[in-house]
Amino acid sequence: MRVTICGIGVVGGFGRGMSTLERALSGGPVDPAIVSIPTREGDIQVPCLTADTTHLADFMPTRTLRRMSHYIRLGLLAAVDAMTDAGMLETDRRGRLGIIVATGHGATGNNYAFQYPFEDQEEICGSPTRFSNSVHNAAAAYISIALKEMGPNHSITHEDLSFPSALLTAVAWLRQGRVDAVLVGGVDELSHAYAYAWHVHQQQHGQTGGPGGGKIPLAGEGACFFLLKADDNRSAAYASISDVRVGRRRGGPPDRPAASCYILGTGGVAATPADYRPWQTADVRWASYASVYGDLPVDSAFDTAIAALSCQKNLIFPDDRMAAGPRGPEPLAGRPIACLKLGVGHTYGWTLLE
Amino acid sequence: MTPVAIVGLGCICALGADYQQCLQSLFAGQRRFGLPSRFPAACEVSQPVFEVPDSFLQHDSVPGNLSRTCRMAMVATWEALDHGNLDARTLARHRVGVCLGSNIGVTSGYAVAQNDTDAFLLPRDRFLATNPTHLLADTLDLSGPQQTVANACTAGSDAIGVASAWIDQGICDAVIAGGTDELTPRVYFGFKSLFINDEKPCRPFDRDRRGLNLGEGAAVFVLASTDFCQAHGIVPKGYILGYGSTADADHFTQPRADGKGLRLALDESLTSAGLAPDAICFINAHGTGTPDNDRVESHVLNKMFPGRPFLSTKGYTGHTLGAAGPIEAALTLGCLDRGRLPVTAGFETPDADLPAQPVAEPTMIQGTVALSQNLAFGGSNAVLVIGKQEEPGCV
Repeated sequence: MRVTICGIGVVGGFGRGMSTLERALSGGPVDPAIVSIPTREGDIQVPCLTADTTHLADFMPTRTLRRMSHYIRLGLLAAVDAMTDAGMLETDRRGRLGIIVATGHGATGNNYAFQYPFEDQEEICGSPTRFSNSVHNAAAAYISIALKEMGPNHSITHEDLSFPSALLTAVAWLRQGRVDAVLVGGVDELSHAYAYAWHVHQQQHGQTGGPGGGKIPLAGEGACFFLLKADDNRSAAYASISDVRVGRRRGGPPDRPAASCYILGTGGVAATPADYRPWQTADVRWASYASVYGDLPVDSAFDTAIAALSCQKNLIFPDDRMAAGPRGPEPLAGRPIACLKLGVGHTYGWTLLE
Repeated sequence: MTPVAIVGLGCICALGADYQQCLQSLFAGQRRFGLPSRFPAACEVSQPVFEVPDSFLQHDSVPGNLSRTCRMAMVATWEALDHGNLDARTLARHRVGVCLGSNIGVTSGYAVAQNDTDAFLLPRDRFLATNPTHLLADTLDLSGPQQTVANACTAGSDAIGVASAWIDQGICDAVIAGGTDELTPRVYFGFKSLFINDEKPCRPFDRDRRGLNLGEGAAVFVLASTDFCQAHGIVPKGYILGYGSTADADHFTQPRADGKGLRLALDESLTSAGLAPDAICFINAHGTGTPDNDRVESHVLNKMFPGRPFLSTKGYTGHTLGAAGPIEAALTLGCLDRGRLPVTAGFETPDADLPAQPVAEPTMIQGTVALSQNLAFGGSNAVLVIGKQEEPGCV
């Protein structure tokens, strides 16, 4: 059974929405923000791809938003946009909707803020709001509350493989028939701790220590959600997902998707160039778009959105990472396209779109 | 849903270092609680918890440098594999996944001092040592999918539900599934900030209940397909017959007052098992001891299962968060196998405002199917339908 992508919502360092993402992929500006991070040696300035969630005020009262952390807002904005894109935000005939939120690190901003005082023994009792907002399932819970959706609601956290893992379960739910649609996505926020960690990594490895042998992308943040249905060709706004695999390689030939075009998630340092070599054969066209959305654990959600856009436009967008030099756009010519992500400990996840 | 076989299980919590010890302590009515022993002295501690003694974690095959969450998961997993007479070599011949629920445990590796010059690498290294799902897959050299479910208090039940779906859909032949969570200052003071901890040992469903006590632990099931069992001549210890989960879509930190989310989850679990409510012989409730949670559960159980016995085991284990569902599912299977229920520890005085009361005396039960249900921070509800193997004494 194929699964149809009926709607997508994205927000990241490039902006918000699929048309903005398409402009960025076609060479439009992606301007980094300079984040000032306090350290024990003084403030440092780190260029990052940060995301703006002020448009969420179009959907809900400011006083409600005030209680939500940035992590929750990122997820909520992309989720609402995916529902809108699928034409399902205002309808009362959604059927049973499942919600799955993938996050590599969770609400790290509030998590650190709540945790550090205890480690430093400076404070005895923290803020209840900060604690509530620090849990991994905060975004998923607020999405269900905002959408008034009572279907299954899961939060998945598994570092770089969080999104492929969430997608695997989303497809299983659709195939089981326990839901009529699934709103599945990834969200990660750029806390000071993560930005600093990225800064240290870049200092240690220079500009070209990325897993694909290319430039290290800037630290990023954002959210990307998909509204999926089972075999609904009438509402196939973008593409169909024909297969999702998540596993751990134990030697031997890799479990490869049947595609001649791959989008590679190059964020993070979990995988090295050597890890990718078994997957890189001469007959495969490689592309990477991390420079558009930045380095974040759920980067494969953004790659899946780009693959869906490629299928819709029948176009491979220009990339500047995996090739010897930047390559311009070229026709996809109806070929399937796969998104591959390698994680720690020989883990992998891939999604095949047509 | 196709019934999923339970071929082995392991459990560690304040009740005991292994599954049999947990059951013995449960039926003996033993409650091991005290003030937190591992927190910095500068912090104010006044509410009892149910800790796992360090002696329970002494195990030749469990490295001491791992996080407590991982060590508990490993102890439970090695027991589950022994229980199922399985080894890594057997598992390596199949597509075996790992799906665990964990909340607090998966954040313990995030601590990064901002003057740490190896800050970027450390969190990733720590991920290897603090993510129990990845650790088990890596240690056992498994090839299947890995997933850590972080759904707060339903995480472990949901992980078992996801694992069952993977087997049902042919994604895996077998899955190591369950939950694990350790007690940390963050969660202790986090719950304290919400004013939902009881300063006495918790009193589920009691008139004078004031809140929950936190605990820690792990429970792991080896779940498998019928084909896997037949290939290895395995007689299942029990079955996951159904699973249901919903969101309240109502309030972030309180259960929905009308209980609609829980009712829908119960409905889905029964439908997926192809069973009517009459088939259920008892319910292991979430029963945290908070006024709101117990009120909602009592009303829903009274409406859907009038007169059916139910209990809470939180008075023996504390609230173990991501491990709660699997620990309670394991205890549920133990109760089914023994044909009796222990008393609900902490329950003494019935609450006149609750329409249904938990068992207050040891209670004989007849039947082969029971429910284990959990409600979570964030509004999630999860219900597992658990069936026993006909031959008593096999678990």
